[in-house]
Amino acid sequence: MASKMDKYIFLVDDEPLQNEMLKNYISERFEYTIKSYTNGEDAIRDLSLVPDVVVLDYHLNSNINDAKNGVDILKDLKRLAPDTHVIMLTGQDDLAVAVDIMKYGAFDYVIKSETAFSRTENILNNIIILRNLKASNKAYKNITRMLVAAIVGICIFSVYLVRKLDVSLPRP
Amino acid sequence: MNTERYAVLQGELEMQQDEEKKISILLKMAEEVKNFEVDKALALSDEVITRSQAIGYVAGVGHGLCLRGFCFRLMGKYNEGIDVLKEALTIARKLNNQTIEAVGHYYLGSIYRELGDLANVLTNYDRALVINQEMGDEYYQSVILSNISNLLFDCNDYDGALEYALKCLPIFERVNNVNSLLNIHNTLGNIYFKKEQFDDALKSFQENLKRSEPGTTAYVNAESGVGKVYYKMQHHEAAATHLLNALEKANEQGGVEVRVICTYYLGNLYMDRGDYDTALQYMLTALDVATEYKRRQDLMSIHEKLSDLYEKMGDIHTAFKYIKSFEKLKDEVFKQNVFNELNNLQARQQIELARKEKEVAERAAQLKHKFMANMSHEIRTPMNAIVGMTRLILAKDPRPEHLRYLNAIRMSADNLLVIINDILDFSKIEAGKVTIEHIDFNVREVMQGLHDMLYTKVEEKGIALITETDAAIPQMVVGDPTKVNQILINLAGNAIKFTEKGSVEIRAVLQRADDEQIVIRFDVKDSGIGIAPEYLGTIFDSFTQAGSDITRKFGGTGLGLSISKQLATLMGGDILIESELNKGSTFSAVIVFGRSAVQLEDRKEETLDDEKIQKLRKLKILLVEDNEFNRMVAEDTLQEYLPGISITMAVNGQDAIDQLQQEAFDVVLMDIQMPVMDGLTATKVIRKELTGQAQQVKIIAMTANVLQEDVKEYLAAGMDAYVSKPFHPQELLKKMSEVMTDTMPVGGDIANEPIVPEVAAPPVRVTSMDFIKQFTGGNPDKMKKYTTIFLDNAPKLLAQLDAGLAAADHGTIKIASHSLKPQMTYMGIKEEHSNIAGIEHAADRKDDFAVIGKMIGTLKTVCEQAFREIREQH
Repeated sequence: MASKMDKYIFLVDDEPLQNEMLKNYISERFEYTIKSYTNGEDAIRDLSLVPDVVVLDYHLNSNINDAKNGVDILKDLKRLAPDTHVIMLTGQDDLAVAVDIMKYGAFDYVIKSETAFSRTENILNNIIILRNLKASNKAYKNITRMLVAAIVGICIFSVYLVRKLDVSLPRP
Repeated sequence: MNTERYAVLQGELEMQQDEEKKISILLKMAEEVKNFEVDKALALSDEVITRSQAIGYVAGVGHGLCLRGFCFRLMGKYNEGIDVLKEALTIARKLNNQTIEAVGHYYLGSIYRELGDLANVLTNYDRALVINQEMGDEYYQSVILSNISNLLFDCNDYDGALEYALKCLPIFERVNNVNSLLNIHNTLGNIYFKKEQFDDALKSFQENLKRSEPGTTAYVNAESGVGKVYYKMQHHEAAATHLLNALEKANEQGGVEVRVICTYYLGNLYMDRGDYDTALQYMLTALDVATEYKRRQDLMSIHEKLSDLYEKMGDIHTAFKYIKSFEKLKDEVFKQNVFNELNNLQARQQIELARKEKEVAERAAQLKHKFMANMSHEIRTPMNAIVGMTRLILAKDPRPEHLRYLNAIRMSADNLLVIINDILDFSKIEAGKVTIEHIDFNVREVMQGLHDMLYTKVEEKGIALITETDAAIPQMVVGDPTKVNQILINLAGNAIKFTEKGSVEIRAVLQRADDEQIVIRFDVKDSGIGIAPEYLGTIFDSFTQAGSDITRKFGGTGLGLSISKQLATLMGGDILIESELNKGSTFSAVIVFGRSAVQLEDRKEETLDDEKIQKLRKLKILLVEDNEFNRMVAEDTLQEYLPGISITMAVNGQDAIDQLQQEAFDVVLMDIQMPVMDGLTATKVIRKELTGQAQQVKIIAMTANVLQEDVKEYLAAGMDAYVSKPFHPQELLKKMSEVMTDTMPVGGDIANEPIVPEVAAPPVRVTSMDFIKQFTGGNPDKMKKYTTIFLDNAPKLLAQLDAGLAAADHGTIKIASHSLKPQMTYMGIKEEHSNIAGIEHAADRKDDFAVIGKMIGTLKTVCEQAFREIREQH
């Protein structure tokens, strides 16, 4: 039931096994609508769906010379949808890669291995908590704004009342 | 003329039964009268001595002798006095009676004073003063101080004399001892007189007149004093009255000093009045008395006056005679005075110095002791914590990089402990109590250890560290590696400390070698601040650094070099310095070692060539070692030098045999001492009881015992080689390559071709569905879905690998293997079978395609088996 309220996760990986396993793993645990892509360009095209999270393979399409690689897609994603969180999948436990990824705005990175799935789950949980925090923060901001407006209104009204009283009271 | 107290004492004497107590009462009585009635005091002293001798009361004799000496002084019998007092001192020392000794010295000093022998005066007074200080007797201290004041008076140091006298005065007033007060006022009067403060002098003498009873010696003394002051104040009438009075009494009492003074001043008085005859009479009397008692100071003045007098009387000849005598005396007295003063100064200085030195030495010793005790506690406690904690962390399976740091900590801490112990035993070095060990050790190991230890330090400072060992230095020498290490750490530590940029070089150079001795010079050269020539001489002194500002800037105790030098000396060597300020220094420790009986083959320093290393990397190693830590070190080292090498662990000999029966290995690295079964036994079992490849396996002993007999035994048991522990990687690699045969590695690759790592012979199953099962929660449909994807996808990637190989494109191989890697993992295919990561690395390193091709071949075999297994499940 694809409605406007749906929240999306895009999985972008050219390895079908990895993609399929991750898709199942997430779908069993989260209420996201999951869309899988084998290349980045398709995912970018679907950005109108405003995905919450994109899980992106760092080594995406490294075997296809003219296709964009993971980092290129990451840059495009962050440019086109800055609020979308990107989790990068990488095969190397390499600090330099991780730093690279984070530098371009990825939310976190996951090393492909048996633990990759549970780690992705943790990161998604973190993202949700962050989103909720941001949302409640926004709500509080609105409430505060309303309160301020109300107080200002009351103040103006009381000034008006005092003036009126001033005028209406008989002078001694 | 008895005082009240005298009467009281007499009464007590009659009441007292105890002879000793009677004697002490007699002494007190004598004490009461000695200043007034010398004869009586002398009689009393005789009585005391006789009675004491009768009952064998030696202390009594001593006291009696002192008293007698005092009396002799008053009577002018100085020589007798000295003899008596010396006798008293002998007794005092025998009895160890401080009171008698102090009194004896005091009286003796007083006699010497009368004789003008100031050096002896001072010696005796000082001795008395020290004893009284020890006894804490303030009163007697003051008495002696007052005498020193008199002494200074004799030395014409009137200011000094006044100072001492005024110090004593309040104490005497507090104690209210009449005699002492009389003495001190007399002294003060004389001092003021000499200082020509006649009013003050008059007051002092008049005070004594008031305090003393007319007719006593003190009174007479005071009267003569008053007289001479009046004379000086030009009150001639009053002067004459007092002087005549005093003279009369003095003639009765036999007081020498008063008689001289009175006659001398009376002579002066009459001379001033123009009555030369009377004046001459008095002067000649004065001369007689003074000559009789050898009072040279007085004689001098008298001679002078007599010369004046005769001149005025017109007897120029006699006047000339006297003036000549005066000159002669003046010379003598002057010389004596100068001599005295010098003596006085010297004696005082010596006494003062000795006292101070003793004090300083005592305090220093105490401080040193305290410091050592504190240090041993304060440093050892935290050091033990550091060492202990490091050991604990080491036992907790740390990560390899942590292991390195922890080992560095442990080594440094251990070294520090050694050094602390040596500092604590610093005194032992000087006492020759430090023992130098004579054990076989490897100089290169020491140098290597030094390098490892200093490396972090040097890296922090951004300077270069170069360590080099002369190839001519034999493998093993006999000496004390700990001490050598200590010296080198100290020298190198200093070098690093004082070098801001540039390098620190440590070189071991063979200086001389014969059949017995090997002399090695360790040069530690830095490009640091250098040492100024003026400090070069003192740099080895304890607690000395090149200038105090060095300590502030660089810290340190300044003990290190001193210890190092002494250690080097103990090892038959020395430490030499060459240094130039701001250019750097070279410290050379020359140490004499013995020739070692342990024969290790000379190590060829050349490292193994690449081809051999590549071969070694393919070997299958069985590491047999019971110590977990050593296992880790060995494994890490091998992995570092031979990446990808296959190492299997066994924890003892039995375990090793079991594993050899199951699997084929190329080389066994065998520890000797192990529980359950030791390495030697295991080797014998392998050679005798096992069959086939296992029996033929190459065995390298890893052992700390490298004595020749041991080595022979190992080889006889069937071992192929040995390495000393802790092993040097290069040495181990060399040994491994030596035992390596053309048939290695197991699996039979041809030696001349690039060798592919022989993966473990494929086991029955290569796949495992454990992960997928757990991932899917055991759902067979899902499991099948994934395995199907794998079966579909993996062959594509394998095809890509082939394509990459065909196109000789490392990049393609790398990407494909990278993609394949996680998938293999999910299917439970182990790296040791697939070596997929190895392929990725090889492609990344752009290894030879022949090698990669072999690896891919193996991979494909494994994958085919995996596909079969998975399909079987479907």
